[in-house]
Amino acid sequence: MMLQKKICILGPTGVGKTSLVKQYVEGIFSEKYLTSIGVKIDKKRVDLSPTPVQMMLWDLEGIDKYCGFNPRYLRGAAAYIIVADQTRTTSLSEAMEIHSEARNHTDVPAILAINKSDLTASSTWDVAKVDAHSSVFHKRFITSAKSGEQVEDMFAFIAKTITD
Amino acid sequence: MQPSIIQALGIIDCAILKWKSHHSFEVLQAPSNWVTKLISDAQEGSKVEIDNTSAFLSDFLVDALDFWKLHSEGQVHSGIWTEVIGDENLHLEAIAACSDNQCYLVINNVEDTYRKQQETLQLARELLISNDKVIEQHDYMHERLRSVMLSHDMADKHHIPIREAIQYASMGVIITDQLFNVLEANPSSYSAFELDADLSDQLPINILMELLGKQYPEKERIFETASAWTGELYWHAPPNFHKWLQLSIQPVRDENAALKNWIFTLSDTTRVKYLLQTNEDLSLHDALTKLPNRQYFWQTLDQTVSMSTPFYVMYFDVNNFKSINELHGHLTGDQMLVKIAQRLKALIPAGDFLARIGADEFALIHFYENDQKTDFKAFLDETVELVEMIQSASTEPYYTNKNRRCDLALKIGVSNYPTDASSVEELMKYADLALHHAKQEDADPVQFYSLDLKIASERRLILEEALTRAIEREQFELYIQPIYNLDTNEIVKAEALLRWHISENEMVSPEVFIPIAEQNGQIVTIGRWVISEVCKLLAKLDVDGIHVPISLNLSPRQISDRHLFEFIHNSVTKNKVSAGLLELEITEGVLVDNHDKVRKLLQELREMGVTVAIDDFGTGYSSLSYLKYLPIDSLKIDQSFVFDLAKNSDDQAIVLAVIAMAKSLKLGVVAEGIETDLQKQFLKQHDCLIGQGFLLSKPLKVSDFIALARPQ
Repeated sequence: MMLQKKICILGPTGVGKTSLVKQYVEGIFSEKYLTSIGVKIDKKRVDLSPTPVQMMLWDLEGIDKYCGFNPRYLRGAAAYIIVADQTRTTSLSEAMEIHSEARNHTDVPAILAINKSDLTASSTWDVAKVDAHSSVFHKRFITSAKSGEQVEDMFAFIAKTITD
Repeated sequence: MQPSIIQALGIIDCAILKWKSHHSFEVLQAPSNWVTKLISDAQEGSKVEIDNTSAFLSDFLVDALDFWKLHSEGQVHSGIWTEVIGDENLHLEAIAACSDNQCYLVINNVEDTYRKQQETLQLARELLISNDKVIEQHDYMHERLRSVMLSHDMADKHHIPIREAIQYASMGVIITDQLFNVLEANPSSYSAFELDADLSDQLPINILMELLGKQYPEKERIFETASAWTGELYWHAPPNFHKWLQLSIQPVRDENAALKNWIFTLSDTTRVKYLLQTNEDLSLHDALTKLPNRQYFWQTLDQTVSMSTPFYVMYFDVNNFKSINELHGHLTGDQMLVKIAQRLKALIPAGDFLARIGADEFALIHFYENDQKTDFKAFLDETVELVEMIQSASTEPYYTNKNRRCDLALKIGVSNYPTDASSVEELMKYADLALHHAKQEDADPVQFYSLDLKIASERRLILEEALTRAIEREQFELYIQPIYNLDTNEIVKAEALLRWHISENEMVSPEVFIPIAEQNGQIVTIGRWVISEVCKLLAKLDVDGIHVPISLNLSPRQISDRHLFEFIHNSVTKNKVSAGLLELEITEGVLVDNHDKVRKLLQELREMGVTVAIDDFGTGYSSLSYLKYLPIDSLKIDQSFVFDLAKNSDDQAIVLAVIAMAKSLKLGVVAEGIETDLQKQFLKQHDCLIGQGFLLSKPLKVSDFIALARPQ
């Protein structure tokens, strides 16, 4: 028997949502930015004891002026990840707005991923502000889809959290 | 046309399934092999179950089943999804539809749409990200320079810390004094215009100013009102160079709010523009609202002028938009802009040209429908009717997805071709001037450009300029109006009021200068001066044995000052006065607009001992729930209700309700504007025993107040 759990990955445009999933599922990273359209679902099996989990990773199109937030995609999610990009300060406030929208529809564990840790943070990036925002999340990870830093840890944490 | 013919012609590539029950379907059309990859046994005429075929499709069936059970005509779309089958990615969209009581599931292969959408959005999002980064860099540079400049004397010719901060910046930075004399200009500001800093006799600032003047008619207004501004400039130096530059302008004020310097930052955004131009739609239309953008508007206005037919230009500004972004976030702000654009589109005549020309600015070129015979009066009347209808419609509230109300009324400036101006630049400049006037507090939200308006605007600019120097010229004076116990005629409190002597013989009314100061931000500095003076006065009164609390008014903008509490605390401590003798008056609107901030501030003030009164009570926000949980001490009944108290039964009812409410909430109540004995008697009879007004005492000079209040 295997449990199946839905995880949604949300965030503003260009923060690396698809890259995080690709790094986690396939272990690869591409420097080229290719915008996502709609939804793509990837699967990854996590061998937890006693029951393995099939993680269904719903990679959602970046939320911006071209694509609004669709709460329907959160239905049945066991957790969701909100991704922000530390090289672009506005992505953090956008991520917080998305989190606040999502919270109107679900109270499942929410994880904050501050991505692109391999790059220098924006000159306007405010670590104290990030810390303050992080408190409304279940846990925060500083990730790099490029180097893989904290990517496996983040998904492992989620797998454990949603099956506990 | 039969589905099979449509399929054969390649118009759409889809599978059609008829819903039987729950997850069971009959396959009507399954033309391509991609369908069997998705639903393995999908042959035309066969029965299939859609269960674990596709996680996305199974999820969509929840919505589809809900919809089918309604048996209503129409469709529900899933949105595009990517189905990974082995090494292949299928780009699909599902549609649940109902027709003649039959329910269908259509699965479209949207490969082409997906590819086109990705191409367009790839470009658009690269631009979005790149634009965000440019703006962040500009903001950071401005902030950094501002703090360095405030801690260093720019009059010193060796601005070493500033030079160090900008020398190696990739963006152009120019710092000038208030008269635009260049104090610093980094090498990138020269290279932006292909100039050599050591050899060139041309200054980047001069090129910038010339471009601004030609491309932005609002230039004069920006500089005259010392406003911050961001926009794009096109620089063309034939035959070799042409560039798009993102320019940000920031005024720097000193601690007395006087304008000291200007900071100009500019970045080359030619690559971004080049990408834009590869997509004509993006280059001419605003991606959010789908309306024509500023460039398109400008081109159209230029062409319209060349036709020499009368028309009007309307310049719309969304009032309060910034606070919507702050309160609800940028995504909601964007949704509101789309709604505003939709509402505008529905209202304007078919032949008019509407565009989004700035973040929260729209513009319209309005033509006379009966262009065979241009009757100026009829055209004016018709335009007045249209613009008033647009303004009136804009006052209807908008609602966010969370059903929260947003009031986003439009302010509108209008100019006419050819009566007001005959060039594109002047038409826009005058519409902008009219708009600027419409945005002032208490002004009519629709303003047509006129000579009077120009004169009024110039007068206002003079006042704005004078206001920046009022503190250093010691032109402000506090007046104190005693507040009495109506029963005992004792002074129980007093209110500090501000007066401005602009010259020896001329006094400017607070109703005139406070809105100006509120709008341009000087109110923070002026407000601090008042707080400081009131604390000094309280200390002086203490020495004179007068222990009367003094209240002062806080404006919305002051509440937004992050250091307000700290300033009040320091002023009280420095003057060694009892915090309990200081009272702050705020209006209801402040409570609603800055709810979280105000709540925190009021709690801190309460802990310190400062009391808080709600001023002009009854005229503002209708929800009174805040009275229960905010630390408020008293309510001040607005003078408009007191004015007609003797004869207006509605006003009587309101006043009685406020008194009763204050009593049940254990709040104090103060009546403002008592001018007659009848008003005083009414208030006394109904247990409102504290009041102020000309009947009791007009506002007094400090020395007169001391003489009056000093214990005999």
